[in-house]
Amino acid sequence: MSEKKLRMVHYLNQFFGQIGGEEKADVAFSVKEGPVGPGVLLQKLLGEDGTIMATIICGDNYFAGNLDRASEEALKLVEPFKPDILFAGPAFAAGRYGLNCGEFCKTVGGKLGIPAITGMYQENPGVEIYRKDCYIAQTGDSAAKMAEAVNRMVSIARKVISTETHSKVLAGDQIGKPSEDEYFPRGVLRNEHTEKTAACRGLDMLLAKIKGQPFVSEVVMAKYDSIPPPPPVKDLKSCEVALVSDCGLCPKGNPHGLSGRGNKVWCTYETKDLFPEKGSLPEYEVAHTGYYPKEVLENPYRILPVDIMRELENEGIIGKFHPTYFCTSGNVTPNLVCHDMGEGIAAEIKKRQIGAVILTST
Amino acid sequence: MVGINRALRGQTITNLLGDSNLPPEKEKELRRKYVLRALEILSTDVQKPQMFSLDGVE
Repeated sequence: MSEKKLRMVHYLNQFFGQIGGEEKADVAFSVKEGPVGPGVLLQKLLGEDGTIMATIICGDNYFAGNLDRASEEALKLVEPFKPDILFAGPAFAAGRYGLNCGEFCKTVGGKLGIPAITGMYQENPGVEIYRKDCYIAQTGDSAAKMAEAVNRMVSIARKVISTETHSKVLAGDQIGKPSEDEYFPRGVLRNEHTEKTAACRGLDMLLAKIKGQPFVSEVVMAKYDSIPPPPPVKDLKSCEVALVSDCGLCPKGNPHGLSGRGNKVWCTYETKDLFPEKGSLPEYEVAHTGYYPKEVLENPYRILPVDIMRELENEGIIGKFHPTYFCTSGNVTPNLVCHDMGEGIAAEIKKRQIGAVILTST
Repeated sequence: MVGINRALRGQTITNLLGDSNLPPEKEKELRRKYVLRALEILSTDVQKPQMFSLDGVE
């Protein structure tokens, strides 16, 4: 690394920061001089090349409860130490912690213009959301793999900091490919000289595949779960049916803060309030930048056929039209987040003993 | 389509269950057709992901 000793700040949650367990998840920020917990190993591996000036500790719930407030507070606490690089976690598979580490790295690292490194297990929701904003080292799924995780984080740190200029700007060039340095792909495109053209490489892969020989795909396709089809509804006349949608239609003011792009939130609205049967309809907005909402705003029944569902219930064609509309917005939302939202909505549907769902999607 | 077990193809992106060229009453009839078709599909046995249309199977 460089001759100058690099200044580092480390973010930990209440557990790894040795304040307490789940019962202390609401603690606000505290600052400790030097390394704490996993930071001790981090410092040991860094050796003479860097100093962990301070450890910033915060409860998982406190941070997650208000990301904006938390990252602003964190920035104020970190700034005086004038760090060259940030560390967070590692969070392994812990969802809240992972999201908080990611947000810390993204916001504090971003505002200070310095690299930030954390570590997560591949299924941590923080990976998909933050992998482009910081370096997320690949880790095992629990703290049993702490040594390996911290090692990776340090190894990435050594490559990321420029040795020539002591610059706070990401060197970039010295870090290897994600597979080489064991971090999650950051969506960075870097030109590379190859001996063979893409056409030749493609054919080589195809021939290898046909011959049953190993090959490495250059672009990895997303995997989708295969879910066995549920059995059909036996009797619609006794079935309670609910409407779910990812169209982003919500009351004007968007009270639940759905994001028009990359949304991670779902919520519910009572149909009697959002689509009153008597009088005029309230004002709506569409929290979804993936389609032109004019037609839907003219007549929301075009995407949420509440009027028809009510008629069918009155006619006895369905047993009941569930009085709650399950609302979300699906526009460039990462698969893992979609998966989690789907599971969340499904759990609520099951709890309410709803028999079938019509999901409308643009 | 990416493993959706029961999928019904709608009209357009901006107007899933309707057609703004139709007069409101006719558009409502079309919307009713779609919902009834969806309920029919919910009552249909499927063995693997299947794309349906208003009139049949794709």
